[in-house]
Amino acid sequence: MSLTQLRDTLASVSDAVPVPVPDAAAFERRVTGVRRRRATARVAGAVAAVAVAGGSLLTLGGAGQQRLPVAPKTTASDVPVVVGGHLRTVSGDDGVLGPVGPAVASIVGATPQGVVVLTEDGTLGRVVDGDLDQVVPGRVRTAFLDGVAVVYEDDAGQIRWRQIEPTVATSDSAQTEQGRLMAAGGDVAVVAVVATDDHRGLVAHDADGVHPLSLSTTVTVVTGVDVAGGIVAVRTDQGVQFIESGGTNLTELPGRAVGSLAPDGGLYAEVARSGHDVTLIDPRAGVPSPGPELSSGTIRQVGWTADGDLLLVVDNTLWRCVGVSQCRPQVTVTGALRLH
Amino acid sequence: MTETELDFSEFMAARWAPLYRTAYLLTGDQHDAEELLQSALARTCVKWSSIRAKGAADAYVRRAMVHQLAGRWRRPFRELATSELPDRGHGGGLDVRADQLALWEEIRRLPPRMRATLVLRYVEDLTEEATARELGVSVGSVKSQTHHALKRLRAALPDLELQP
Repeated sequence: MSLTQLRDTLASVSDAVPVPVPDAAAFERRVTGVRRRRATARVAGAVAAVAVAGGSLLTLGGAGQQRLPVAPKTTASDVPVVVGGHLRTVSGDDGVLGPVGPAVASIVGATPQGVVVLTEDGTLGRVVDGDLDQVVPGRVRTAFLDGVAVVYEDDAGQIRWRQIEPTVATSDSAQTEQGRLMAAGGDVAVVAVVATDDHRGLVAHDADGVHPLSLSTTVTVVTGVDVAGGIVAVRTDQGVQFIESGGTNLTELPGRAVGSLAPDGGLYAEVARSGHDVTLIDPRAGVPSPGPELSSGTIRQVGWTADGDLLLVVDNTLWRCVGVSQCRPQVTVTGALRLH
Repeated sequence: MTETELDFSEFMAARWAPLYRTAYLLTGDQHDAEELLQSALARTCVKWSSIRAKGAADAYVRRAMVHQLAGRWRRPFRELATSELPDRGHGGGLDVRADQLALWEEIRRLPPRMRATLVLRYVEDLTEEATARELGVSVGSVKSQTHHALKRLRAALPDLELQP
């Protein structure tokens, strides 16, 4: 049988399949649903991925294999942190530091079942009652939470989705793109494509397809990516660039490579070059405004809780700012304090 | 009904059947095909006023269907099972020759991305480059998917002589 017969078979099947009458009522409901989701995405967004700038670099056009920053995601009240290389939890109510948890390399995010973490040996697991339960087999390079699933890049460079809520699924699927997973959340995954002939750079995968993200021609290094509320924030050696996940460029600002996009994508918090101030930027308008003022200390990290409270690591103290303005210290630790 | 809605309704009425046939080839399942097409048409309807080249609306809907499928095959909990197919009775309800039915049953067992690659290449007659754009993958991936799809079909039906 030739390819002609393959074509003929597909054509015959196509002709033979009975075509149903369109269900007008069901279609109307779908149109209403699409309109509602689009409006929701524009106004607020429903994602809770919170990415914090890290020190790892990805050089566009290169084939570096450095571990990329991983996005922590917090519950509404408690904040998972890494203290001295171990997972701890800071109570949102009283700032009490919880018991010492297992050694972790980074925090992926919090789920109702426990905090998902990556360990130094590349194990992706969830800490439940102080114990680490592996959620996917093998070693993992990078991972992000995305709704009920975890999106991760395995040790072979494949990007996979696995459902982990309410229970961990026994299998996952992979996309065959050759690239590096940079960020994920809200049904959007941002991948750095470095190995194909027809495209190099960043692409965003969402329900509408794959969208190239156009970076400024002067950009040579991407230091981190956040995605939330349909907005992609790309930190580069030139500053920060905001792009809609569909590929539409929004704004671009020079600045430092330390910042974090809010869970709804509505604000981007950037640490000033001095390390003493935070600037809040509207990604769509590109308009900066002063952030909360702190009396002293150097801001080392910035992040958000899932419900939109700004988190700052000032020296060895975790600060929480309700409504990005009313800041108060939550806890001071001995040793290195990290949000991710 | 606004002029835009009327315009879209006419498009949908005229193109429902051929688009449904494409959806069926992409999904291999009549219920999934209707779901997929309804969903893609709903997205198209919402964006209808911004689609300037209405003559290319078929391609727009088809792309929406492929993109939605791509979203499914990237998510483990929506991955389509390929080892067991639902029993649809004799001929799967299709009035086609026995040899064609055997081949179609094997095509239905292909992973969704492979099946979509075959449909775009050999039904929609897209080039490898255009297929890659539709699927959001590299040209190399299209070549690989096509190669492996034909290899699987050959293995499943050794009497066939599919040439790449």
